[in-house]
Amino acid sequence: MISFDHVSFAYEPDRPVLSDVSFSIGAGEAVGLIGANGAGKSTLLQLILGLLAPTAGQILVGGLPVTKENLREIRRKAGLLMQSSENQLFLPTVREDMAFGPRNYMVSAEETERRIDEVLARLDLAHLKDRYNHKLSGGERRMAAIAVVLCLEPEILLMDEPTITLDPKNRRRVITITQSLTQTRLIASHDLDMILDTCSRVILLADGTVAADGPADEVLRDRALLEAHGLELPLRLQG
Amino acid sequence: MERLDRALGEFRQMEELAVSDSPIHRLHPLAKFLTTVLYILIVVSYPKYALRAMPVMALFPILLYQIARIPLSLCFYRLRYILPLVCAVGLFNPFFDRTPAFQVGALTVTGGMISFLTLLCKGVLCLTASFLLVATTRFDALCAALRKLHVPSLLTNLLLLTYRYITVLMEEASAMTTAYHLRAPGQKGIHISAWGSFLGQLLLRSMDRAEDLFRAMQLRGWHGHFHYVDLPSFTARDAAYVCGGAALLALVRLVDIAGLVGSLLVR
Ligand SMILES: Nc1ncnc2c1ncn2[C@@H]1O[C@H](COP(=O)(O)OP(=O)(O)OP(=O)(O)O)[C@@H](O)[C@H]1O
Ligand SMILES: [Mg+2]
Repeated sequence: MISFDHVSFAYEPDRPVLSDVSFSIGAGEAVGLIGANGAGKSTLLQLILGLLAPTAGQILVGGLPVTKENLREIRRKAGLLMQSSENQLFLPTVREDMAFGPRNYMVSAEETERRIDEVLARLDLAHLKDRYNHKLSGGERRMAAIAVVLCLEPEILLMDEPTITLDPKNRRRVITITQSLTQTRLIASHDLDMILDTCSRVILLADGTVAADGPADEVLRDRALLEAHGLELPLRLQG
Repeated sequence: MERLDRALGEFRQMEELAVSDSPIHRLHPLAKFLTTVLYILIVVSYPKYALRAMPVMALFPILLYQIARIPLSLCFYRLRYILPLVCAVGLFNPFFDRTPAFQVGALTVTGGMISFLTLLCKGVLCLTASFLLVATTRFDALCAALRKLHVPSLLTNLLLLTYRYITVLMEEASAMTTAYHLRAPGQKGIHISAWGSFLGQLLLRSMDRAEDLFRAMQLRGWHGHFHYVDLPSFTARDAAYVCGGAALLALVRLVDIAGLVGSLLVR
């Protein structure tokens, strides 16, 4: 579903963020993307959606190269949960924000409404439906942003720090839902316990390259590897 | 800064006002837009000494504010910065136009005074009418209505994005001033030495955020058309409102009601 073929990227010419990154993710796979702050996780997710253009190499999404002509198709297939939910929500109420995407893709008003109710029920967020986005707490906003993305029903789900600012109950709920999805998932996070729960495979980014790519069980248990790249064992595996 | 926060709050309150419910809110945006434009045109069309027509014209907004359940005082409070400007426009009329019109006791009322007051009334009436439109209609619905009138989408998109951007700008400014004051306790305002970097930073930050928001829109399939406002269909009620309003306005404009009432009273 997603493939990176010798991809390099830099915001500023003399400071490469990604260099020669290659990997591929199959349909239905759940992959964790880990790495220290500034390792390039968010950048990588943005490359997939064509928000940034690689300086070298090629990215394929659902068999389509990420080029200007394919952007609409690719963005319909893949939904991104941004790292900052402030920037993800831009309409007055949660309901309107959820309806924005489907309506743009010509989903009928009734179907959109049905999806909204279904997603909100699944996330146990029905009470937020008509609330104003600017009056939500940080965590509520996070949940709303997740609802917005799920409402698009994407084939590929890209999540940047989904559990950030969530309380234990909501974090657990997001984990359960992520587990129950059958879509292709790529989840960038520092919450390694969550990655362990939701992903079968982990890609570790460090110094602009893929430092490790393997089964979650192996990578996340490799204390030496994690510590060498500024990370720690998941809490559950410590002690 | 409190003042910024208050401005942001007021801005948001307008948004909430616009989605509340009343017979006026439920009207089709296009119907409200058309009648508002017509009202403004008619108000402006009165000759410059037509002061006595103004109270009659004022009945329209007074009545509609009641129906919309929006206090008129709110309008004046919100427009407190603009109203003085309206006053300033005709301020010099009394000095230029000194032809005496009539006498009230010892005071000679001049044509300039009347035209000044008329202009003032016209300004206030136009503002109250526009405020009512904005307070009872969501901004995006208004833009959608403009699209229906074949206003170019470039313009309506620009309006909408600007509208969104104002909030972003105010949010960033408010967050930055808060951060500043937390580290500069006891300071009133922002020290002049920090203004340059502060403004620069504000611009960069709000541009970054605006760009991110724009990306968020693109990611959800936005391609230059707003689909999310489903305008209700233009019903018979809306048509009645427009036609009735237009007929009433025309009547008031053509028949000198104030004069009629006056002559009846005198007789
Ligand atoms: N808009 C930008 N302009 C220039 N450099 C940037 C920009 N955005 C990110 N960077 C740089 O690119 C590198 C990778 O950033 P990125 O946001 O992808 O990291 P990340 O892995 O998501 O980190 P985090 O865990 O903190 O979210 C960082 O060194 C960052 O400073
Ligand atoms: Mg990041």
